[in-house]
Amino acid sequence: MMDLHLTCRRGARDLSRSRCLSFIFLLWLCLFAVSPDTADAQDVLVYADYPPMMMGEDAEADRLGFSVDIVREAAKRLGRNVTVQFYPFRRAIKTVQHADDAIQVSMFRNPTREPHYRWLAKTHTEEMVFLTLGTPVNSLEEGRKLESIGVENGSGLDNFLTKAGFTNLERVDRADINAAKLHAGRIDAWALAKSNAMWVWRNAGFDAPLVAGEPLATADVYVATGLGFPADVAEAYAAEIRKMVENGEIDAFIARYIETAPQ
Amino acid sequence: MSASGENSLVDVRCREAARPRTLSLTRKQSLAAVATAVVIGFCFAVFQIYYDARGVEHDLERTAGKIAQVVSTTASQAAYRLDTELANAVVESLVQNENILAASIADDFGDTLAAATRQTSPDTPLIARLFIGHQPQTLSQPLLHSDVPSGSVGALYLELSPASAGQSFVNRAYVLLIGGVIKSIILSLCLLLVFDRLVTRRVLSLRKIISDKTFLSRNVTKPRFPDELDELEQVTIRSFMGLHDALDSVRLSDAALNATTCGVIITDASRDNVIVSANQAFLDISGYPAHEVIGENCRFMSAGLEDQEGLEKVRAALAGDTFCDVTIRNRRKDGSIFWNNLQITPIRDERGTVTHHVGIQSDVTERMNYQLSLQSLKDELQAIFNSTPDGIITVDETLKIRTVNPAITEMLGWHPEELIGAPLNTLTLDDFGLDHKEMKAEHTGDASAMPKRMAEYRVVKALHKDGTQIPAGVTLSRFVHSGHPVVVASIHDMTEWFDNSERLIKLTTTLSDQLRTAEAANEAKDRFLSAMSHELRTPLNAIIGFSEMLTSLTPEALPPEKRQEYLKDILQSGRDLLKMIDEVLDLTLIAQGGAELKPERASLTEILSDVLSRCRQIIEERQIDVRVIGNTNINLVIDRLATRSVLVNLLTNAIKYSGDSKVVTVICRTEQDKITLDVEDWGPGISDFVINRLGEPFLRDQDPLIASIEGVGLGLAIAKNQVERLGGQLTLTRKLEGGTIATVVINQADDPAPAPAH
Repeated sequence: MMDLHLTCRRGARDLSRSRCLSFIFLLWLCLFAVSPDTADAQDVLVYADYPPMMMGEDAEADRLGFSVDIVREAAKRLGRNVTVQFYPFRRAIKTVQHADDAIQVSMFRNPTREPHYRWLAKTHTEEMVFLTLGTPVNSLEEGRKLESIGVENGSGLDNFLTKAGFTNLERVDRADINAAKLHAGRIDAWALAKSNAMWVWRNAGFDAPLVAGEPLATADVYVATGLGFPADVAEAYAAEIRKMVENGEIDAFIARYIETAPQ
Repeated sequence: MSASGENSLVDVRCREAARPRTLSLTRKQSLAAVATAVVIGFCFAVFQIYYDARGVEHDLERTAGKIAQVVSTTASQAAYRLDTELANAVVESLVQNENILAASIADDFGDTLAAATRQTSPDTPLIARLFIGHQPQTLSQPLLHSDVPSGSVGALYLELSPASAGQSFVNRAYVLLIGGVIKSIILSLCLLLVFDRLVTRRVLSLRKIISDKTFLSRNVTKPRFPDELDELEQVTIRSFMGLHDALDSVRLSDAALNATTCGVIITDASRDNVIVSANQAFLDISGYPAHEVIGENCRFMSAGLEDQEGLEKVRAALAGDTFCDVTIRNRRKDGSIFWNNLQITPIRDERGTVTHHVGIQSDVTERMNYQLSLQSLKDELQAIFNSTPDGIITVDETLKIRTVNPAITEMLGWHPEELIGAPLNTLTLDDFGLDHKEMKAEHTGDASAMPKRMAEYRVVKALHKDGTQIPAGVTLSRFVHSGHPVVVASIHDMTEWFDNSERLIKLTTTLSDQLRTAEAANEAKDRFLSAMSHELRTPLNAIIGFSEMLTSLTPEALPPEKRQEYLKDILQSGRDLLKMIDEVLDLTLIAQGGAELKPERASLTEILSDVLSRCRQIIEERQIDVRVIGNTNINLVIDRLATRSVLVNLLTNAIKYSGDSKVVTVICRTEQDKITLDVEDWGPGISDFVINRLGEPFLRDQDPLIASIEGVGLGLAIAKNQVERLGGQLTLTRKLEGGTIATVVINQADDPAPAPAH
């Protein structure tokens, strides 16, 4: 359906007004001729750049991240057709908040986001750690003693550490920048989700072993939609995902990316 | 006109013309030229400034648009990523530009990602505010990104500062303004110099020619190389010579207008006929000052008086551009109403189009009031003339009828149209006409010397249309109309009067007769009472007296012969009394119509014999010689008893009044079918008193000698009444030699066969 709409907008430039109106009329007939419960129903799976959960804009079509794969598998089992759409993270979660057909494949819950989304199901739990190239930093107290800690600007971890009274934070917009800064010794530690940090570090091609401290906090990862998303469809997705979590199928999707992570 | 304009004809244009020419033409031109140049230069400068201001606005928009275009990629990226830091950086950099007051970036969800406002804002100069405005302009630039299906990720908003370009604009504006004015002044001075040389001096020369009358009479030499101004000079001289003549004519017309007592106004037909000119007479008539009427429609003079037929004519004349002459009621300023004789004449231009209307007005209130009172009087007189019951006609000196009122038609049947112009004898008989011929003769004299009342009231015979004659009372009078005498005849129908008079005479006669009858009856009653008191008492006294004597005297005291005598007296008195009562009863019976007559065949001889037999006793007692003379052998059909009664009474009377002669004669004669019987005595003769009142009962002669003869006066009355019942007639005649003849004339009925002789 989205393809038809786009075709119409492009074609309208060449069509005369009457032809365009005729086309819109035919489109209207098509819309009302097809039941909304049929397999033509479309859901948009919105993802961002947070590997390995979401592999970013330049990922291959069959490796968009395990969170994308999990939801896409759930949709497949539900018999719903889906498309995927990449957005920068802030646009991604804002788009899902305002759209009625979009599903955010993975998102952390926090008080700010809580009332604006329908949280379908938890897929897994991420561990927030300080990453270093030598001695592990295992607590917040140890972290405060460091000279500088790299975080992503505006991320959940940024907010967490700021509230915890950290004043030694160096904020950048992308995780790979912090990886490079850590590799170059410009920061003492790098605060990030463990799986994400490992994927970014390996993807950046650094050979030095990345040491992860004890978890500072954990964060459950959820599949979420906007409040306008159809409730019955949301519940169907949630049930299917919960079933995948319960029977351990989720692990297989995650393992596919961990095991194939760059060395 | 202009010299006396305020006091006479009010004309705005003339007042304009009267303004003194105190300014030199050159100076006026200079001032006008410089002022015009300054104004034009100023206007052009302002236009240039305005045009520059529009350019400044466009330049500002173009500059801001370019800036927005430069940062649009960065701003789009910030909006796509919802990167507030990047967005803030963009807007902070934008407000560094002096043309931008504020900048903001909003995402496609409606949220503002970043906004910045410049802290200091220069004041906008006044002239820049006037031409550019001081309200900031807003520029929006859509932010697009290809990774978003809708294409739009937000918008960049810029608030542009007009003050940024204000100072440079003001500088340019001053240069344009001052430079434009200076250039215009220099140009106007140059043109003024040239114009003064080529035109002004010659025009001033021409003005001198125009203003100097003596110059007009001079011959102007033609220049060697004449141009348009030379032609204008020649034409102007000729035109002004004509204009002076026309002006003199206008002055004369103005003087005439002011001299007239008629109000004159001129209205403009193209402007709802408002008054453009009014003379002093109009102001005097209306009571309005000039400034209150100039520019106004004349309707204000008819306020509250719109319902007039004349106003409709005025409106029709104004609408149809025709002449009209009406008299209407108008209102003065003080509210009083006056009659206005208004004449409206349309004024047309050379194309025939009505441009003005001239209204000439006269206050005719006095005349109208007189006419109205005259009309009222005329109506009243006409009503009197029409309603009077007497016919009224007027006749001219040729005896032709001039006027006829409706009463004539009712009285004589003639309609006015049949009589007017007809000769007078149409209405009169000859004798009436003769009278008027005499009157006509009188009219040939001096009309003014004629008496107002021509004749006394006279009764004439008027001629009805159907030919009948009607008695009419006529009174004549006259008046003089246009030097000719006119006679007024008032005709009164006397028919009823005559009828009433005749009835009155008859009634009077009847009443007189009845009065006489009543008096006679009264007198008869008196006579009856008088006679009866005597005639009744006498026999009754005798009867009573003798009866008392017979009853009171014993037989011894009254001898038998005396007794017998007394009894005879009583018997005679009783008979006399019975006879008298019979006569009274007969007369009463006769007065009541009597017993029904029974005519029967009888012989006059037999009747006379019967009469003589009835009167035998008195004839013998009086020893009267009764002689019957004439032919008594006549048969007639008559009531025997009534005839006998007549003759008995006449014969008895003749015997009683025969006096010493002792002879009574009965003479019989016939004349045609009448029988005449004369009963004649030779006594003293009857008096005129009795002759004239023959038939009245109880009538006794006043002559003492006759009155002493016994009788109650019923004999003649009975005889007369019976004769009249028989259809005859009884008359009494006193003879010169003495004695009376009573003549009875009765009709002789059929059967004239001679009666048997006795």
